[in-house]
This record gives sequence, C-alpha cells and structure tokens, in this order.
Amino acid sequence: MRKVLLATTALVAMTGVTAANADISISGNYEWEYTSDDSGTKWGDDGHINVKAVNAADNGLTFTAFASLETGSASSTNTEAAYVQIDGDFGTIILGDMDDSMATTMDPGLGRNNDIETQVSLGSADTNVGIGSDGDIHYKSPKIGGLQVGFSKDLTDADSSATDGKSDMAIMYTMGGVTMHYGATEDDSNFGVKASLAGFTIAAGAKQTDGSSAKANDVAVKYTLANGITLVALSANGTSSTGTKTKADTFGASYSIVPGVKLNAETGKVGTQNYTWVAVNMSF
Amino acid sequence: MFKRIFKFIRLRGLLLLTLCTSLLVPACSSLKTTTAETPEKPVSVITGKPGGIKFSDFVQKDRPDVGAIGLPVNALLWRAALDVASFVPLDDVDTFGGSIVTEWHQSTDNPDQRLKLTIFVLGVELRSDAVRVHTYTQKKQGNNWVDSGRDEALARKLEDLILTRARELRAASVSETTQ
Repeated sequence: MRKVLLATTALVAMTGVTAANADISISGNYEWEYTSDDSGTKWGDDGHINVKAVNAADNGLTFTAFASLETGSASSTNTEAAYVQIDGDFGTIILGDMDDSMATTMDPGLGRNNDIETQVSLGSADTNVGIGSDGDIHYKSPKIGGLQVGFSKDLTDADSSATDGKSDMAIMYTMGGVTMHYGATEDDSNFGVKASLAGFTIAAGAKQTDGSSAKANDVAVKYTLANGITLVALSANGTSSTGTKTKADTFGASYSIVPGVKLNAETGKVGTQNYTWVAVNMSF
Repeated sequence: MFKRIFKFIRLRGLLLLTLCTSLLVPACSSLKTTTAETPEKPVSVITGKPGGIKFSDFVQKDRPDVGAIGLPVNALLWRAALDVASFVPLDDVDTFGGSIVTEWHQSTDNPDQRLKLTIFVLGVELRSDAVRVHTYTQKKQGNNWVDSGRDEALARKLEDLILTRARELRAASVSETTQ
C-alpha cells in the first residue's frame, strides 16, 4: 500500500514539475437554418470543430497550430482550414490555409462584412476582394501607430486555379473612432471606412476592377437595442464587367438567447431574388 | 500593385479626407464617437467565455488551493520531502493532506536512541515556510523506550534539506524545458 502511494505520488509530483507552456483548446459551432426564397424553402445545417494548440516559447515566439473541420448533415466533413501561425515582435506569419487571405480578413469597413450573415451571394454588388482560401502563406505586421499591413500569396503555380501565383495585400489604419482599410489583388482593389457614432456602427466600402467597368459599393448601418437585439441594414450596388447592374438590400437581426446561443434572421432582395433566412447558432 | 496603391490614393485622397473629417467635425462634438468595434469572438455556451474549451481549465492550475493535476500541495516540495524522508521507513503518507509520518528509526551508530519524523507540506507555493518538520526522539531505558522530547536542530536541518532539494528539482525542470 505504501509503495503504491509513494509510486503514484512520485508520478504526480514528476508530472507536476514539468512546466506546461502549451495549451490546447477546442471550439466550434453548430447552426440550424431555414431559408425561404423564390425557389421554395430549404432546411439545412452546418457546423465547425476547431482545434487550436498554442505554445509560448522562451524566446518570445508563440507557435499556434490550428485546424478547422466543417461538417453538416447534408455534406461530408472537410478540412476548412489548417495552418501553423508564428507570432512575435515582427508580426504574424501564417503557413497554410486559413480559409481566408489578408485582403479578406483586414477589411472591416466593407458594408457586407457588417451584416448578420450575407446569406445570399451579392454577385457583382459584392465589394470583397482577395485570393481568399487559396492563400498558402500570409503575413500581418504589428500595429504601429494604428497602422497595420498584411500580405497573402497563393504559392501554387500550376495554372489550375484563377489565383495560382497571385497575391493580395491590405492596409488597415485605426484613428480614434474610425477604421479605414485598403485591399488589393493584381486585378481588384477595395476601400472601406467604419466608424461608431452615437451607438450606431456605420461601414461603407467600394470596389473596382482594373481595365473593366465592374465596380461595387455598399453601406451598412448597425445598431444594438437596449434589450440586446442587434439590427443591421445593408444596401449594395454593383455593375458587372458586361454592364449588368445588381442591387441588394437586406435587413437582419441577431439576438443572444443565452451566452453562446444566438437567434439570427435576415431578409432582403438581391437582384430579383427575395429571401428570408432564420437560424439558431450555438457556439462551444 | 504598388503603382495602383499610389494612384488610388491620389485619385480618392481628397474624398477620403473629406469623409473622415466629416465624421470628426467639431459640429458633431455632441455625439460621442467610440473606437470602431472589433469583431466579437463567439462565446462558448459551455464556459460562457470566448476562446472555446481549454484543456488547461480541467487542470485547474489557477486555483490557489489545488496544485497541478489535482495535487493540493506544491509538487516540488512534496517530491523533495519524500526524497529526504526516504532514509527512514515511511509509516503513513497523505498526499492530499500533505503529511508524511515515518516509523521509529534506530541508527546503527546510536542504538539507544530512535527517531520519528512528521513532515507537513503546506500550500501550493514554493516557499520556505511551506514545509514543517517535527522530530520525535526516544531513549532506551532498560527494555523500554522513553520519550526524550524533540530535536529542533535536526528538524530545521531537515527543512533546509527539503527546500534545497526542491530548488534542485525546479532547476532541473527549467533546464529540461529550455533544451
């Protein structure tokens, strides 16, 4: 009995002696959603499981390994993002697929990034630019005096994707209550401004394509009521390279039932398509 | 790409400056401007906090009354106390109470005297006052053992030994981590 006590105590003591700098966390969400549009009603769901491991090294660098699995009852599970991130005084380097690029993450000023869901594709009225999930390597600078820059590049050059070998960049500047950003790829560029004023959050963005008549602009206004309900109105206009115009107007609301459980809704018209979307989203 | 940046700024610089200034004009001073909201991270329904579920939460490292992996006393001091007391047969070890009681031990050098140790490890911090040693001595009179009080000097020496051993263990673990 005594030997067992000593052995287990020594084992516990040995394990407790080793410093544990790494931390592993699991997070994710599940969303059950209902969509009604001109073609009928649809019920669906989707979910994510994220695993993150963070280790702070003694040399001041922080290493993060991240993987995100996307799943749903009507779709197979796939890896949505997987990367290694290195943080230091020099900024952040991300190696791998983060399901986004710097131009699509450092763009808080676009109206379309401030609505509830952007459930329906905005088409040519979309002000978003960037190589998105095709980025293989990314860099984000530290914020100096409110200014931050980021770069992403698709290292693949096999000509099997429109973004092969392409890159994007973003510059973001925060000054007082205003955040501005500029993003660009080889072909497109956008600009956005976001500010909070008297409880309202206003975001406006614009996009243009080189050598083309394609352009888009949007504006979103968000307000949170005293009862916690967040209301958002989005208006977007766009012109395609062929001159076809698209107009989008949406209105959305979000309410946190309990911390971690949200009831979201959005309705609007994009082009000629009307839609209504309601969802319950649970995060863990 | 950089040419396009400068061209864009030149063409729209004035418009941007006008837009930004209109948001900050003194006429709007009655309206409070705040920092543009940063994207909120989703809150976990389990923990009520953003950042998901961390494995370290199950270890409860931050609770002052619980040490690593549920040990309620400092692991280094506990290990050191066991190492130092190991020259004497152990009678009772209480991991969660933090106490070690040895059996009566006779030294071959002085067979007419025997010794018993009681070691207490207090708290989860590695502090000099977190270990306490009591030494009980008995002398042989005829065929009986009679209590002869406590040996405080020996107790203080043993406490110093335990603290020294704990420091050695900590230094060894730090060098393992940095390698």
